[in-house]
This record gives sequence, structure tokens and C-alpha cells, in this order.
Amino acid sequence: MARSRAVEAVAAPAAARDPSVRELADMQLVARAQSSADAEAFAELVRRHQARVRGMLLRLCGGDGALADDLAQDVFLRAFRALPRFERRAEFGTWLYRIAYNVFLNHTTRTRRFDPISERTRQREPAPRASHPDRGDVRRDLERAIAQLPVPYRAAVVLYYLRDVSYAEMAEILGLPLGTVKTHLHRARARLREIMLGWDETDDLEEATP
Amino acid sequence: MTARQRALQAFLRGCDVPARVLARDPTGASWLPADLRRWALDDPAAQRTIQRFVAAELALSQAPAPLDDAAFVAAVVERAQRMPRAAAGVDLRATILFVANLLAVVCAAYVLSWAVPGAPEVAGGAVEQALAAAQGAAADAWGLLPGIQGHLAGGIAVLALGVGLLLARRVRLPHTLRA
Repeated sequence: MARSRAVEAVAAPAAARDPSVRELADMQLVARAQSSADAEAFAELVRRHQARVRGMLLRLCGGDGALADDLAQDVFLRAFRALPRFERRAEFGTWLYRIAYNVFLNHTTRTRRFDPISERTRQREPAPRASHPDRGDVRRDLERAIAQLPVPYRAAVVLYYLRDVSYAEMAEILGLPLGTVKTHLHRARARLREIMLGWDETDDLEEATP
Repeated sequence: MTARQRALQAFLRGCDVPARVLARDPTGASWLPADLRRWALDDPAAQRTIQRFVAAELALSQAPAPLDDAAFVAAVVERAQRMPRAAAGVDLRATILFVANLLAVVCAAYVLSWAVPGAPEVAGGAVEQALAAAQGAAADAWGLLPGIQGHLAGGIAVLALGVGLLLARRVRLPHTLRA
């Protein structure tokens, strides 16, 4: 089957893409995608936001990259379907993050009901400690620690560390009052450190034991 | 665990040092309390704990995202093009919510005009006349007694209101977000 113009345009290197699309602001792209179902405008929106949406889902999914990418595809497809109804009262990115959070919540509801194994995989053991922390190990341990947090705490901490999300936007994305978001975040960070410091303590005890 | 180790862990649990400071000063010269810092300098386990804490905080503050991926974007766009899109301004749940609430109001007005003697006349009694005609037609068609009709209408009103309220809780779709 021949690939459409929009798909060809997306697959092309950055320099070869339509410069007029690349220079537009998000809301202008949204307007074009809404009014004329401009596939190139939608493709540009996906290209701009995919890394952050996938990153957010990667952390929410405890570092499971394949699952995060599946959910991320679902997020963009839902956004595409709902785009004609997007009223542009929020930032496009905020809207996408909210869809992503909803997709993740739906996934956790489904897997808790039908797949208890995925709950168990959240409790995997951390990597054994080296005397100098390896970046990859730290990242993996961090993802495991995040996966052990309750979902609302997990979402708060993940969104907080996405650099372009304010507290107000976090409240909108999570559908919670601002005060609750701040409380969740405070508790989530404390819990995260507790988990990781607990692993350090266990390792130190094991090292000390002959 | 010694009292100092406990103190170090308690401090690290609650400390709020920006990532840029941690990156600049990973040993804690500027952000660790002086007594903990002096002790940590001579304690390899404490140094490891600090190193791991700093590494985890820096990893958290760095983007976890995979790099831009043209294949991902192409796959999304290709799938999107095979997909039907919602018509602008039409939302099934919002429509059901509107109809359910409208039905609830109509049924409530019907029950009120029928059951409450001396209910205020609306539009010179036109509504009451129309309702009475509808009531008569319903009685002819279904053979229902007025009392049963009232209960039926009340039941429908409660049901419609319930459906409306249930949907109202779920209808906050992303596109309704306010900036």
C-alpha cells in the first residue's frame, strides 16, 4: 500500500519537512488540523510532543518501554479522534498529558482486574549496588521505585519532573485540587527516597555480613 | 544502624536541594549540615549513600524520554489516517447528559402540575392544558390510571436525573479543560 503524503513527510529528515508547518505554534497547528484535517499539522504535533508523552508513560509504567510506547500510540490516536472537539482553552500539551494519564489509569484498571502478574512485576528487586552508582542502574532502580508508589503519587512525581508542567497544570491533568497535588507530591518524594534509601541500607547490611 | 546514619537518612529524605546544586556539588559541601558532612568524609558507607541519593535525584530531574523517533511518529500518523474522527461539537456523552436532564425537567414539571393543587399557571395554562391532553392520551393509549402515570413519570424523572448526574461526573473530558 502506498504511504500517504503525511506519513512520507513525517519519515523525511527534519530539513526536508515543510518549513511552514515546523514554524507554527501548537495552537496554529491544532487549528489547521481541526479545520482541514491537515495530516501534516497533526504529524508535527505528534513529533513535537511524542518524546515527553512517551517519557511520562515510561515512568508511569515502571520503565516498561514497550508498554509505554503502546500506550503512547493510543494517546495520540485518541487525541486525533477528539481533536475536532478540543476547545483550545488549555495548552495542547496539558490536554495530551491528561489523555495520557487517563489512558494509563484505564490500563492499570484493566491489568489489575485481569493480570495480577503485572502487579507482581512492579515489586521486582533492585539492581545490586556497585561502590560507584552506574547511571543505568540508578535509572532502572528509580523506575522500579516509582512503580512502587500508589498511582496518584506516581503521577504527581512524574509530572513534577517533566520540566514544562506547572502545579496548576498538574492539578488539571490529575483532576485534583492544587493543595492535594502539592500534598501528593511532597509525600511521593518522601516515599520515593524512603524506598531507595531502604535498598541502600539492605545492601550495606549485606556487604557488612561475611 | 548508628544514630548518625539515621540522621543522614532523615536529612536526605526531607531535603529539597535543586538538581542544579546537586550537579554542581555532589559531595554536599554546600547543602549537607556541617556535622553530617564532617562525619561523612570519614565514612565510606555514608559517602555511598550520598552518591546514590545525588545520582537518583539527578536521574529524576533528567528527561527519561527516548529521543525523537520518526518511526513512532510515522506509525501514529499512518494509524490515525485510517481512523474516523469525531464531528466537531458533537459529544455522545454530553448529548445523553443534555437529553437526560431535559427529560428529568419535563417529568418533574408533569408531576408538579398534576400532583400539586394550585401549582402556578404557566403561559396562561397552556402548559397545563397540553399536559392534561398528554395525560388523557396516555390514559387512552395504555389504560393507565392517573396515579400510576404520576408514579411512572416520577420514576422516569428520578432515573433520568440519576443518569444525568452519573454522566455529569464522567463528562469532564480533556477537551473541556480550561487554560
